[in-house]
Amino acid sequence: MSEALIELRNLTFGWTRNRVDLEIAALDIARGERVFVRGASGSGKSTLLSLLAGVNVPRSGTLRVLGQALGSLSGTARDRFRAEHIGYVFQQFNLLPYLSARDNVVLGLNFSRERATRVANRKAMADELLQRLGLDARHIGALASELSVGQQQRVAAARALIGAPELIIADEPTSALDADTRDQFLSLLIDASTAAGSAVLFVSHDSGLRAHFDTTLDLHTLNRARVA
Amino acid sequence: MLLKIARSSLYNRRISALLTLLTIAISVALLLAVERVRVETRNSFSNTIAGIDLIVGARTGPVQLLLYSVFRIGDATNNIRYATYEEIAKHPQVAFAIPISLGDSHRGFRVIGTTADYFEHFRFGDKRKLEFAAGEPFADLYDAVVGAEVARALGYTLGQQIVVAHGTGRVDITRHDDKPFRIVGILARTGTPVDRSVHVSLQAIEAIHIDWQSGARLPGRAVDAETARTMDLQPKAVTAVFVGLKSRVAAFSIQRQVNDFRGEPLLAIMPGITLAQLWSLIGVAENALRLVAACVVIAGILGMITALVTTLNERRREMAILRSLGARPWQIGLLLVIEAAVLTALGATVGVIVLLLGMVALAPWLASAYGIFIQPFAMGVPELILVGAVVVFGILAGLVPALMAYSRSLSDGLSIRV
Ligand SMILES: Nc1ncnc2c1ncn2[C@@H]1O[C@H](COP(=O)(O)OP(=O)(O)OP(=O)(O)O)[C@@H](O)[C@H]1O
Ligand SMILES: [Mg+2]
Repeated sequence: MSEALIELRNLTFGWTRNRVDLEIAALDIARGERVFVRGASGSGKSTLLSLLAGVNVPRSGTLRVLGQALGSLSGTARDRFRAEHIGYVFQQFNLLPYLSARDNVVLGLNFSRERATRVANRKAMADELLQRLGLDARHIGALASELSVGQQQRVAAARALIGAPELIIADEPTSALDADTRDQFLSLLIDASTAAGSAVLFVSHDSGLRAHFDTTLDLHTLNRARVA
Repeated sequence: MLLKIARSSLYNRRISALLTLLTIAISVALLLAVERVRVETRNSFSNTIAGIDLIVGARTGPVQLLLYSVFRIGDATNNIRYATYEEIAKHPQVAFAIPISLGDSHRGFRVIGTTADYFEHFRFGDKRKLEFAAGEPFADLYDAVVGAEVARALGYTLGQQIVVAHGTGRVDITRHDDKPFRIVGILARTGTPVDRSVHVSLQAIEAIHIDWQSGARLPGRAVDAETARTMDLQPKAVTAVFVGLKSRVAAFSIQRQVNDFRGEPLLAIMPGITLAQLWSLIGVAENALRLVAACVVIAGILGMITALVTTLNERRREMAILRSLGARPWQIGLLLVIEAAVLTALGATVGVIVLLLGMVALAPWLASAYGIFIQPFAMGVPELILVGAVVVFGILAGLVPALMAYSRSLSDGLSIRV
């Protein structure tokens, strides 16, 4: 198995036909590497992450994740690939409002065989993750739609961490958190990824967090579509 | 898990789901009601009379004669002479002849004047004889035998006195209150118009009209009940005669003889054949009714598809989230199909319950107004098949939004903004 987690060459992507929103010459991320991603708003951070997670496919160039060329997979195959290997904290959380916090965390395990085998007791694991992120028992059982924005964000984070995926993608996961909760989340993220050997891609505008990561990516320099 | 998601998601949209469910419930109830009434109408009509080969009455339409003589629907325009009845009864081919005389009523129930032959020879259903739940046939002039429904509805018991009213209106306006009757018999339930009849002798009919002429009491010539006993009570006319033949083969020739009778214009009908005529009359309306009911069900299911498709737009994000977590297309499809199945199955169940309650509530009225005896809890296989078809149809309908759901792109659904 190759050491590379992500291997990206001459990639372009545009949200609409006559536009190029993202153009990257090369990007390599190793397994277990922790990467801090920064860049001005609109510089293409979320767009890049959506490509790495197979939500979108590149217009041109090659993109390999865990040796798999995502562009050549069907939509359904990419869904399965993502479910098995990637935990994604969406910038807009994307929780199901009518399920409890706990059920939202457990939900993904139903669709991912590999991640499910790593979790012996789903409910206990979900509760533990949520507790470590500072949610009390009352909120763990509450509907996602009845949680505060910061609480929802932590549920989304727990959902990405459960089952120890190879890659954790977190798109501004601390934007709605206070300093204490943010630190709690960060230490959990570092602990969990170290224990599981997961790589982390972490988008944030908070430069103070850079110290926790191995490398820093600046979309401003990486994305040539913006430079031009 | 899928079930849990489906349940929570439905609960989250409970108002619109409830409305959809009601639409389906109402259409199913309507469909079944039409079917039920149709079947029960046929059943109660064809169960009403058996073992009678000919019905003879004054010349009129065959269907009309059948309706007023057997079903007690509508009124006779003319009577036939008592002498004519005697002649029919004497005919060598005739096994029995039951005369009936209609025209009076008791609190909305028809009073029929007849003879003891009625209890002996009248048959209904699969040739069942009339049975007494209590008491016995009338013997005295002022004795009456009431049907099961009359006894139940009015709370009558043996020995009670009742007063017969002139005419067949719902409300007793002019009453023969000078000559009350005593209940001596209560018939067992038959599920036919017999249940809703009060039976007295032909002589009794004569007696209560002895001081009447053309529908009004003769002033100053009142005859009291006891004096009437001493007077000539020989009946002069009857409304119709139920005839049983020694051999059914003779039915056609006797029918012709009766129709050609010189004494007065008569009509003889064979109940089975006239009933078939009635069906062909009703059949067209019946089919139209079924068509309408089917259209209502289709409209109900289209309504459900519409509801599912419109919520689909709101639910794009929900579908996308499930996909982003690795849900397979068939799982998302199944989610929508489960929802459609639950909605139609629940809707159908509610529909059946509504129908049962409705029938229980309306059965007495249907029986009294139209002579249709409905058994609410007699739903059978045809009904189950109908309900099953509606549910299957609903599930298939759920496939439409399921297919639509998966044709949308993932990032579309994920990037829906507020
Ligand atoms: N769903 C979309 N449809 C069309 N264009 C989009 C969509 N999402 C993003 N874009 C465009 O792509 C560009 C990059 O957006 P992106 O969301 O990647 O920025 P970002 O770096 O994540 O910004 P932020 O820090 O505000 O989250 C923007 O110019 C934006 O207009
Ligand atoms: Mg972003």
